Amino acid sequence: MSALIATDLRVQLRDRLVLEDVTARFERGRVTALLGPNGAGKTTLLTCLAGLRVPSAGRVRLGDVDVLALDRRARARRIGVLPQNSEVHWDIDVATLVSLGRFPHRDRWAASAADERAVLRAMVATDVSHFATRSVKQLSGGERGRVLLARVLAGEPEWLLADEPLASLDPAHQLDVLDQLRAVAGAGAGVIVVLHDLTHAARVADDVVLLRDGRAIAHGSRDEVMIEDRVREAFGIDVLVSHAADADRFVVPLRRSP
Amino acid sequence: MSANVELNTTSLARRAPRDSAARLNIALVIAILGAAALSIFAGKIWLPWNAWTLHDPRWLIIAELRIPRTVLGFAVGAALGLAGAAMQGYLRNPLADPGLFGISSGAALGATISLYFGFATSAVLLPTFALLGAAGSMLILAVLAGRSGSLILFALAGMVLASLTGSLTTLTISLAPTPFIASQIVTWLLGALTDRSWDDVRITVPAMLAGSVLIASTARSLDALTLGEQAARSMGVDPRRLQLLIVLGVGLCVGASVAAAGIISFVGLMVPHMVRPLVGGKPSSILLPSALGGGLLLLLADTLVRIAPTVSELRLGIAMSILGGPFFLVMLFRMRRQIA
Repeated sequence: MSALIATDLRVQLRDRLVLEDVTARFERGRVTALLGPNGAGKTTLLTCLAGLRVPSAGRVRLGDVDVLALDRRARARRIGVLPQNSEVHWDIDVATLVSLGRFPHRDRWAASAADERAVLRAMVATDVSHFATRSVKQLSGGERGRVLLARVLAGEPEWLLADEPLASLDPAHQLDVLDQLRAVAGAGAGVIVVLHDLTHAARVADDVVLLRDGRAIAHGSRDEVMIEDRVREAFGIDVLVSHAADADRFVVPLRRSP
Repeated sequence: MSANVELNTTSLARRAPRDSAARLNIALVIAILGAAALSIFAGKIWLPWNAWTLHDPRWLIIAELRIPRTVLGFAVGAALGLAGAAMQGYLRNPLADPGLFGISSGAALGATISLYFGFATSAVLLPTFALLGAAGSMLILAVLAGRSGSLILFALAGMVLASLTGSLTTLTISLAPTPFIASQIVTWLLGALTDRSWDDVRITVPAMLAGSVLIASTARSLDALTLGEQAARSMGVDPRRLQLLIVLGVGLCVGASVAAAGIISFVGLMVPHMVRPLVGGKPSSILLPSALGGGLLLLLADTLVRIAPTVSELRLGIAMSILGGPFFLVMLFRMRRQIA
């Protein structure tokens, strides 16, 4: 089980320090939420972890190897990324889109049996197989979100890095996506997800990294991190944290802290 | 049981577009063979089947004029269609055209300069100059935009380059030593396949072939780009390598086609649009039919300008623009309706 480890990550864009000495360790089989206010560096951290951005200092290791030292395709096979506001530019059908996820695995033109199986599994897991022949342009926001997730899952990555996968989904589909993230982690992959909604984060995450102004101000299990003081420090708001019977936690934003 | 059903629907979904693409390609090849035969038949002098023997004096027309012209017509159309499909896939914009890069205007500038110096009589120099012009444009593009692999910088650089080389061409025309040369340049720029020989084929077709191979190698990366630059990168696409391949591939195809036939617009823009509804939107499945369709379109257009009852032969470039302009407008109307 190789962990994904960020050590002293620093990202400088011109004169702005976007990430400052972030150190964090992510484990497989767990869902880790990256939380923080706008501009805290969540997406930047995610792209560094995915090996898509070269940090100004520090490094990201996947097990023993630096992610930047991995061959592009090898890295893509191990780390799947679901970008924010995923775009689909051409009018293609659902099955074609999902099979794009096999890109890092395929050397030849024709898809292998393993490719077909992985695509099928991803489509079943995200419950999109019954509209496999529909055009992506005709899908609702929720269906589209699931199809895009299926694309990443079709690559069978060890890591799923998702940037705000809940944006523009209605509550039912938000819950669906959260369930799928949990299922992916349950199957042994590591899930790192940028979220804005504290309530959802509290329900889905095993671990939480709390970012503010490019610094990781807290990193640990959900129960350690998602407490009133920490959240106030990160977001500048007062929250109500309450427990439900089944160990779910509810974080309700109340007001800006004075 | 239910997994079986799902397996079937998925296989169906993935094979249906592939089959229709195969059918379209076969139909296009058959149509191309027909159009090529027609292109060899037709012209000021009609050459029916009985002229197609070595002993017939008209064989000379066939072997030295009609066949090279037919080969060039197909090759230029195919190169432009393919380059257009690659450009649209790369820029993820259905309105992209190979002319956008400034490569065709770079090639035109090269050809213009060779005409300026009176090299028109040489069958080798003009296409060579045109290819050099295209290479110059590609080099500037690669240096300007190549380091970042950024799409916007790339498109902007191409547009600036297009207008710069365009104005340099106009400057060359205005400085032409004699009115004859000026009109020669203007006529050449209008694009045509008249009086082409095997020399033109030998110089330009290998460049188009090389460009096509480069473009074909980008096919799957273009598919990945459907999901956006960020997603494509996360899937293992190297944006700088892709950009280099596209610049070289499109540059060779477009540069060589300008060298062979002058500027012929709209083929690269129109043909991918015509095939997209038939084979689906996936960029890789559009490449081959776009090449075949472009070749067919230009073969037919070039035959048409030869048999059209005009005093002097209609310029192919003008004919294509007259066909292409209205098509483009209709497309815009349709898109407007879709958006509204």
